[in-house]
Amino acid sequence: MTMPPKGSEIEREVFALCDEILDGKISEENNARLEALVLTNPEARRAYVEYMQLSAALRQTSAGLASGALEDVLQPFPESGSKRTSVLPWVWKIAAAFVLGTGIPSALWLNRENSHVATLVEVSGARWETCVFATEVGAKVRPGNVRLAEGLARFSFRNGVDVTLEGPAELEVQGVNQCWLKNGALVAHVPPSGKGFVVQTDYAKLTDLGTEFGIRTDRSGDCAVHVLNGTVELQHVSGAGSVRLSTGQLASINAREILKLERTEGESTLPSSVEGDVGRIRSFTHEITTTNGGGAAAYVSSPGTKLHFSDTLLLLKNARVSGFLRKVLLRFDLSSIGGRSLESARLTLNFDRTGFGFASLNQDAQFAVYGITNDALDGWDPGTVSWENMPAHSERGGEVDVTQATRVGTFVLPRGVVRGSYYIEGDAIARYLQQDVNQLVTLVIVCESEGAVPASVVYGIAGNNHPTLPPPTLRLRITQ
Amino acid sequence: MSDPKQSPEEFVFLLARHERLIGAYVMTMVPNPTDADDILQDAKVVMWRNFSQFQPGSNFAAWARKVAFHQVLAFRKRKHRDRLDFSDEFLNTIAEEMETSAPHLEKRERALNDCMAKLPGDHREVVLLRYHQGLELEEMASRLKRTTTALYRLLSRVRHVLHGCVSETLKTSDYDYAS
Repeated sequence: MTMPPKGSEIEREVFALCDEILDGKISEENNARLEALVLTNPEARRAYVEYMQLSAALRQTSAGLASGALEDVLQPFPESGSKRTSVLPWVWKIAAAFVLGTGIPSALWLNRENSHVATLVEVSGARWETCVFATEVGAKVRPGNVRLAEGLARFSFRNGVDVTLEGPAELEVQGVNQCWLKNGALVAHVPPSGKGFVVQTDYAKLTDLGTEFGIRTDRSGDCAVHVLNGTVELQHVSGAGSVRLSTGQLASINAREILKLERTEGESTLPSSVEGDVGRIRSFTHEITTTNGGGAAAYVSSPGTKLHFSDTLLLLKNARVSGFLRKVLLRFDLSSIGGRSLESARLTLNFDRTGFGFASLNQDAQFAVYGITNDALDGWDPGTVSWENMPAHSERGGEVDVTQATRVGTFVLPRGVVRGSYYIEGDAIARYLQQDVNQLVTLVIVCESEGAVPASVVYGIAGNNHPTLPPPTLRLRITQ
Repeated sequence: MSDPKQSPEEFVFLLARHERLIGAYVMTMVPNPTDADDILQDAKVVMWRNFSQFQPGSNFAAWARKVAFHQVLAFRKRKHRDRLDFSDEFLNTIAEEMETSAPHLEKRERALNDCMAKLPGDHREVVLLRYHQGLELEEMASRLKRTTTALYRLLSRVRHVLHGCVSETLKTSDYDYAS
């Protein structure tokens, strides 16, 4: 990260003027100059917005915006003319806490029986990756993220809308009347009671006007809609037009526009990424866990940790204290790959509740996975490895010695969440595994987000001795 | 079936999800942190009071931006005018720009965390002192035993590097958090 700043001259000038606003004292002339640039030049406009938002985000990532004493303002109007008469007092307290910026543990309100927005009514061959609710039929679905690796899952929303998610897919359930399809496909059946149901994607907003439709999107944000029966309204998020589609009609949406396609019979021709997968048979999938071959799993605790250990969970914690910090070490034996080349790699970790510390004292927690680059350090013994003698040791709870390790991925557990399956994948981890020479790799997992107080939560990942959850697993796509 | 629309849970959920971006939206128009905080607080109260008018299923972030924009204007009316204030035309232009590029800006925000993590230690330290502890450059200078000019340059450089890193991340990779 030492390259000199690039960018056009206009961009550089706008950034310099923004710097004066942010850290200095901008002169009247320069203020006028900035205004003129932004008003007349689209590039300057974009540069200004991006730079100022970055600065704002830095402040919020570090602190969170101020919280004033607003309780007085909030309390006088709990039922003023609205339909909120049946609301329980706890809801008001919690909502007030949020408006006040003091925050509350999400588990407090999300777990309430009456806060669910849908029910999981049917699953078929479903394998879940990440899910904020129990994945058995009948489970109450609360707002949050769902990743379905494969199979089908059907949700019945409280307003009668029926949504079937087709894996692989990622869906964010946002409320009783709205969801955000981030990836994959779904089919929705919307009865009259659910009219107005919205499915959002990166570039499109689909509002149902009483119908049945299919929608599919991929990571690029491109999206396709097929109305099976009835009518939907499709809007481009940039405001670049909207169309109404009726039975049998299709449309595709990209970053720029909506393209309405002609009526088709039968099978839809969605520009699906799945099409590209057909015929790719020159690779296979292989799974390796920390129990295979020379694999191992362990955690280390910082000096002064006298309590709270586990035989089944690998503990992880970072906080503003010196004791009670923990990091996780995993070793995978790659000899079964036999030097073949990797197309992709995914590391899956199964979190479970430790019962140590309070989840409400943490914000969203970001975890980083590092790969040890020095092969000589792969020989650690899970029985004797310690905070000081571990590979790539660093005194800091959220860091490792980066001269001996490379960062291969990160993931985030939202505030209040301590269970579920999480994974990292991508080029970084595949490249790291591919470069290994001695057929053993050591991964170190740290929690980068620092709990503000010593009593913040201890996270736990199922290790090699967990009674029910699978151990840390590498899923590799190997080219023949 | 009871009408589940516009429940406080829904408000809490939507606000929690969008609060940071709304804060950034306000600060882009009103860079002074104290003023921006006041405006954001006012905006949250107005959203809370008028949540019954929010159309469920419509875009909460867009609705919240609209409320916040009005609060920015109201704040400017209340406040003694400063010769360095932006013009109304400027604010309208910026608001429009942020509206059309909202998904893009959201992606940028998500990529920022990783870029932060890649910063060298001394760069991260100035970000924390300036943004987390809210220190002025003079205070930072005496604490770090450096000149304010050097710190001004360093902060500028850190923002440049982060901006470049975020742009690069969005351009080159299928950037994706695993949660």
